Amino acid sequence: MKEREILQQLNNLRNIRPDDAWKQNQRSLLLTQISNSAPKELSSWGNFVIVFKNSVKTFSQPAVAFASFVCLLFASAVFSHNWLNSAKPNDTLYIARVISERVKLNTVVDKDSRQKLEAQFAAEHATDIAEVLSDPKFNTPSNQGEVARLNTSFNQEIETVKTRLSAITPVATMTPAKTGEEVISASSGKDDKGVELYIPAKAVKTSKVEPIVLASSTASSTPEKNIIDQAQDSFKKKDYQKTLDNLQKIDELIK
Amino acid sequence: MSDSLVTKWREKNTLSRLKSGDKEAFIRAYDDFADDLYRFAFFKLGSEEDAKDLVSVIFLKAWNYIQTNSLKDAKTLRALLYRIARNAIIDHYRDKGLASEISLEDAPQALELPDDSQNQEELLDKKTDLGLIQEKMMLLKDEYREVIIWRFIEDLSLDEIANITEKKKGNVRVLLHRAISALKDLVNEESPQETKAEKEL
Repeated sequence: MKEREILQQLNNLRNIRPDDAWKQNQRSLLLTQISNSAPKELSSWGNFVIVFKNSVKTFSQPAVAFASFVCLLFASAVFSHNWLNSAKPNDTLYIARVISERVKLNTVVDKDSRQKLEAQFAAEHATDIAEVLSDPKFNTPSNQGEVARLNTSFNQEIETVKTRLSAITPVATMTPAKTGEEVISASSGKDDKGVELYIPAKAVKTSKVEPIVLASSTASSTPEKNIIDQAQDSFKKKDYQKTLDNLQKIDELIK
Repeated sequence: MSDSLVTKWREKNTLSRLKSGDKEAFIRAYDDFADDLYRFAFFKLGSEEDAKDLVSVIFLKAWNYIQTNSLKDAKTLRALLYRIARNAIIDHYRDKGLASEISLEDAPQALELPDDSQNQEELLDKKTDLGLIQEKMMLLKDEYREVIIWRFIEDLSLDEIANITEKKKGNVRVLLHRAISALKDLVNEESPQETKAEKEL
């Protein structure tokens, strides 16, 4: 017989066990015998102390502690993003959310993307403020100090949305040059014969650049500006539901 | 990893509660380890009745030991119970004036294998092999038999065996290797084919 077969057979011997009837019987007998020496029951507090001490001993082992720490870091990274995002302006963790947004902005290199992200954050803040103010449990006569503060914040956020959207660099469009004027080649300062051209400043015609923001229109014109203005108007009239609807539209346009 | 961590935590918990005199913890220890200790005693003594008697003795001794000692040396409840079991078996031998190895006549019965998918011939082969293993194990030196029971039947780690025997892990590894070689030599002295042929006669 090979060693492997021997080990397999030894493993099978694990199935040998005493009969259940005997085991049950013995359990009762032993319990009776030890009962005389241990009349007291362990209290819940005693049990808690033991469980706590053993948990500390078990989990203080270096490998376990390190693994737990890594898991905790990972979990906090995954969950804190969503958790902070749900923090409202009247929550204590709102400042943490603002800080995490600032950190995110600092990681964005492209100027336009940064402006867009700032506008998105500002729109989200404005939405949250409107939601909080629409709650009758918050917006009470005794809480007018906070309500006033949030009103001011809302206006600031809306202004941020406006300015950030208008600050996004427009895509330049060139209009065709009129007859008689020199056309400047984009690639070189030479004409088709290879002669360098002198281009007097007056002769240069540059097209009027239409700034393009968000799907070919600007914040200084319709429709985004209109929606933003409508949101501000409905907010002033304390029509929070309409404000939220307009802010939802702005959010969709930004994204 | 998580399973062994939970088992370790559970054992530590049971040991601490036993120290506090908790009867529930005693019942839990009994339920967790009675089968293992029974098997250990069974393969050491070769008798079902003796093994059953010894299991009760082991648990009572363990209870008294835990109440009256500091448990500084006891790393795990399992190791403590096996150490107490070893000492109880030595006392048993001393009391009965027995040698540590047993005769073939007292060898335990072969294990029943309820496998209907196999034909009778295969089943007979398996039974024979198992019976042979059991029989030859009883002829091994005591310390060889112990380490084989712990490692291959009870599935203890080398660290746990080292803890029970108070030997170094390296020594346990060497002992295990020698034990398996000795068992293999004993088993292969008499091949299963010959045994089957003898039975047919």
